[in-house]
Amino acid sequence: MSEAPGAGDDRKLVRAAQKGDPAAFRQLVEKYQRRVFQLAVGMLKDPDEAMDITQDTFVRVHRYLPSFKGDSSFFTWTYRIAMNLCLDAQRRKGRSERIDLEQGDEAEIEAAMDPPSAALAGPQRTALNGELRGKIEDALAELSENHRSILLLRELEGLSYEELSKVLGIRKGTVMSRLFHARLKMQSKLREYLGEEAPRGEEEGSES
Amino acid sequence: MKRCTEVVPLLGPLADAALPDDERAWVTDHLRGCAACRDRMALTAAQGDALREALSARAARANFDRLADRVLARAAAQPQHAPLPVWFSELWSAHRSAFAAAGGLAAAAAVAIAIFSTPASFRDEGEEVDFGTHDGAVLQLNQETTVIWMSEDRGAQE
Repeated sequence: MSEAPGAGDDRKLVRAAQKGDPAAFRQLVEKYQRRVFQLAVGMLKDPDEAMDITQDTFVRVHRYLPSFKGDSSFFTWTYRIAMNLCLDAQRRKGRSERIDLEQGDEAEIEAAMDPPSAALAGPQRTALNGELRGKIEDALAELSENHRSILLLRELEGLSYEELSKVLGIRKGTVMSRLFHARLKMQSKLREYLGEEAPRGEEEGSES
Repeated sequence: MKRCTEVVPLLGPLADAALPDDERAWVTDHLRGCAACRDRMALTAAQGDALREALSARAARANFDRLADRVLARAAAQPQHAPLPVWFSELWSAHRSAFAAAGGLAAAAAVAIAIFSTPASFRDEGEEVDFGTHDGAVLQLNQETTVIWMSEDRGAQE
């Protein structure tokens, strides 16, 4: 697994925090609080709830830090705690949708074979982002928790497939498949929000 | 040149720099000649950018003042030596051999049961896919099956 930038610093801080140095622990919190919050707000949408989860995450980190042996990087371990807390929060609120669409449905797959319209991709991409930003949180909230979590960890945090496998507790092959379907779902939701029909017109393999 | 149906599932891994060299070479070759797949690739990147920007804007508005203080205060109020959470991956790390042996026996038993309980007329219809040494995913695309292989040998990772 590739090491995160500053992983060496993390090790020193973790060792110091494990020995009871509050200043070292404080540095770890301040280093990762924003990223944990981003993950939580992506999962839960509500910023107040996301802040609570961020705080709970670091309380847990502090509590279990003595047992952290450094088998994975500190930030991967922390995200795993944060993700588990987000999923618990969703389940408590009855928002859980554990639909695991590794196989996807036919319409979803076929939509991926349609060429993306110029409004969603291509040279207009920079201009597109402004419009997408306004819709993306709504689209994200409609994904199943499996798809939302893997998209956030990959797109937001840039976790490698190996890291995703560890954080989510799934095999690397499942990472690849789940990410594929998550991106398709997101694309499909965004098309709905932007009022676009998925264009038809190019036969599969026409470029072959 | 490969068909778009074979390329599309690999565009994400290409964008994520997660494709092995041989697959990256032919996917890149396909992209040079296929505007639709280049657009699909651009869309993958655009979605990622938009997601990062949207959530980064949220985080920029959040107030993290004294968060560390609040965490430390709560931590100080908690009893020490709390029970440790054990996730499956940690159990796996600690008892890998035992799990592997039990899994192997269970798989062998399942295969034996399947063979002896399946009518002879069905035995030749399935296509065997060996995932024994690699992590892989199978994606069903219309009438075709695309198998995506991960590059690393599972045994070499451990």
